[in-house]
Amino acid sequence: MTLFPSSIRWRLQLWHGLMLLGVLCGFAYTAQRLQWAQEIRRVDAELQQRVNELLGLISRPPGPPRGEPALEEFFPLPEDAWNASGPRAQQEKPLREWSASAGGWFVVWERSGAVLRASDAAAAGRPRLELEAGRPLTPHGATVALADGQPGRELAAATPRGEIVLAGRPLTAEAAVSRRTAWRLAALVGGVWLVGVLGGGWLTGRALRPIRTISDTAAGISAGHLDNRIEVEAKETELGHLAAVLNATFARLRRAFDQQARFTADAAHELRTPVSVMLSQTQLALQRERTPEQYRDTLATCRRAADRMNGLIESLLELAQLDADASGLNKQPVNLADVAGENATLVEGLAVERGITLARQLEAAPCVGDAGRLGQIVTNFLGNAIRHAPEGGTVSVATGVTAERAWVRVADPGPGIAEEHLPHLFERFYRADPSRQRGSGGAGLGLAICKAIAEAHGGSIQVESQPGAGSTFTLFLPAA
Amino acid sequence: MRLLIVEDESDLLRTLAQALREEGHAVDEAADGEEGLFKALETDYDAVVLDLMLPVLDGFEVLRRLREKRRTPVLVLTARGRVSDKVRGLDLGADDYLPKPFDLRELAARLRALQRRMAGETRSEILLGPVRLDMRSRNVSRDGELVPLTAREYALVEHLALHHGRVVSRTELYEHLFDENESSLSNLLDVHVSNIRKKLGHDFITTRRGHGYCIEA
Repeated sequence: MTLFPSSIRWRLQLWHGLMLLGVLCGFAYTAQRLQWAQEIRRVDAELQQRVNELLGLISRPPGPPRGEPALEEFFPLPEDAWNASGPRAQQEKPLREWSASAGGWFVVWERSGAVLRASDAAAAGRPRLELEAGRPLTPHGATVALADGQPGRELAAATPRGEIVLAGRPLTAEAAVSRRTAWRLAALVGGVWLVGVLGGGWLTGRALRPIRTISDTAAGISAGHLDNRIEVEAKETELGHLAAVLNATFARLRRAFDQQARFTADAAHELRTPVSVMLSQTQLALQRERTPEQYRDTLATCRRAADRMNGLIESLLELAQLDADASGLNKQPVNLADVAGENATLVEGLAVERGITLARQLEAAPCVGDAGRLGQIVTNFLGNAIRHAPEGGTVSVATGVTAERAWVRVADPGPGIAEEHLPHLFERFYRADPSRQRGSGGAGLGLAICKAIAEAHGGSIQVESQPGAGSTFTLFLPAA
Repeated sequence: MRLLIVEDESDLLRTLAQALREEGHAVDEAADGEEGLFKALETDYDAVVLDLMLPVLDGFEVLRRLREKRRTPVLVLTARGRVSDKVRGLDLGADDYLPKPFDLRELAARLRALQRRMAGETRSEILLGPVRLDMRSRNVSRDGELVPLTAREYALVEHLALHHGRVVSRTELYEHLFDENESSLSNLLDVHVSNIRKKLGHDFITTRRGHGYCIEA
C-alpha cells in the first residue's frame, strides 16, 4: 500500500477525515476562545469594582465609590489624608484585604508620577502608566505575564486631572478552568471525529457497494460469462443508470459475439459441404479400378467443389477486408448514372437470355466513391432482379439525387420477399429463398457484401418488397 | 437394403448414391425436402439418409412429419455440427447423426448398424443352420466354405436372414431390393431365388405359395 491509497473509498475516507478534523478543531478553538473571553470579562468586572474603589480613595469627599466620580471631585488631598485613623485609611482597608486574599495588587499614581498608594513593594516600584487623561474614565484592561509565568489581568483608569489608578490580579484559577475546558474539548473532538470517520466509512462503503457489484459483474463478463447482468435495486440512482448503460453494452457485446460465432459456424458449414463432396467423391473413385470417364467425372466434380470453396473464400476475404478497413477503397468523384449504365450493359446479355427487358432511367447522381465497388452493388441488385423477374418482365434501373442523397434503384416485378425475411436479408449467409440451390446460387454473402460496401461509403441500402408485387432495392450515398 | 438419400447438393447426392449402390444397396434419390418426405412416406425404406439444410422443407420438418407416420430409421447427415442441432435432430426422431465431412465407410457402417437394430440383431453375423452370413464383409459361407453370391443375391439372403422365421412377401422383397429406377420383371425374383438355392441348398429358402419366401429359423 502506498502512502496515498488509490482506491476511491480510501481517498474519500481520507478527505472526509481531514475535513472533519479541521472543522472540529476550528469549532473547539472558537469555543475555547469564547470561554476565555467570558472569563476575562468577568475578571474585568471585578477589577472595575476595585478601580472604582481606588478612585473613591482619591476623590473628595472620601466615601464609598459612586460610580464615575466627577471632574471637580479630584484635587490635591490634604496632608493628613492617609493617617491610620483617617477615613481614607479605613476606606483602603477592604482593598488591602482583597489584595491579600486574591493575590491582587493596586497602585495609585499622582500627577507627578509619584506613587501615592500601592498594595506592596513590587507594585510601588512600578513606573507610572502613561494614560491620557480621559472623560469618562475609560478603563484600560490588559492581560500581562507575571513573574512566575502565570497570566494576570490589570485594569487602569486615569482621572481628568491626571491621577492614575491600577488594579490587577493573577488569572491562575481562570487559566486552570480554561485548561480543563481545553482538555474536555479535545476529548470531545477526538470522540466526534472517530464516530464521524467510522460513520463516514460505513456510508462510503454502502454507497460504493453497487460499484463493487458492477465491477465484479463486469469482471465475470470479461471472463466469458456474457449472459451475466448487473442487478440494481435503485434504478433511478446515478449508479442505476450506469448499470443500465453497462447492461445495454453487455447485451450489445453478446449480440456481436453471437453474430461472430454464427458467422464462423456458417462459414465452416459452407466450406464443409464442398469438402464432403471432394472427400466422398475421391474416396469412391479410389475404392476400385474405374474407367477414364469415371475418373474424369470425379475430377470435374472436385473441380466444381473447389471452385465453390474458392468463391466462398474470396467473398469471406472481401467481407473481412471491408470490415477491417474502408481505406482500401479507391474513392473518387463518380456519377452513379455512369456506374449504373455500365453495369446494366454488362448484365444485358443475361437479361436477354431470360427474355427480360432492362429499363433505364438514369439522371446525373454525382457522389464520391469507388466506382468498381459501387458497380458490384449495382450488378448484385441487377443479378437478383433478373433472376427473380418472370420471363418477359421488365427490370428497371434508375438513378438520381433526392434530399442531398444520390441513389440507384433497381426494381423487379418478381415474386417479392416475405416480410419475415426482410430484417435478415443483409445478414451473412442468410438465404431468403430456400429453393435456390446452394450449388447454383452464392453462399448468401452477396447482399452482406453490398451492405458492407455501402456502409464503407457512408451510405445505406433500402429494400421495399411485398409478396407478389416485386422488390425494389435502393442504394443511397451522400451526394457530392 | 433399400435406401433413400435426401441431399440438395447434387454432386454429393450423386456420389453418395453411387457409393451406396456399389455397396449393394438399392438407392433412391431426392433433391429437396418435399420430394424426400413424399418418397419416404410412399416407400418402406430400410433407412433414410437426410441432410438438414434443404430447400422447400428443411430436414427438421421432414423428420417431424415423417415420424408422424413412419418408424423408418433416419440417419441425419449435416454440416451443422452444433450440439443444439444434434440434440434437436435426435429428439425429433433421428436415429443417428453424422457430421460432414464424413468417411464413406463410416456412413456405410452406421447404415448397417441401423438395419441390424431395426431387425433386432446385435451382431453383424447371423447363423442359420450350416449357413453363416457376415454383414460386415457381405459374405455368406456354408459349412465354413465361402459361397460366392452376386450383390443382388446377397441382398436377398440378407433381407430374408434378418427376418428369418417370418414369411416375406414378394412385394416386400421387391420394395427392399430394387430402387425406383429399376423395372421390376416379376420373374427376376424367382431367378435369384433359384440361383441361391443352387448355391446354398434347396431347403435354405422355402416358398409359401401365394405368400412369399421364408428362411426357417
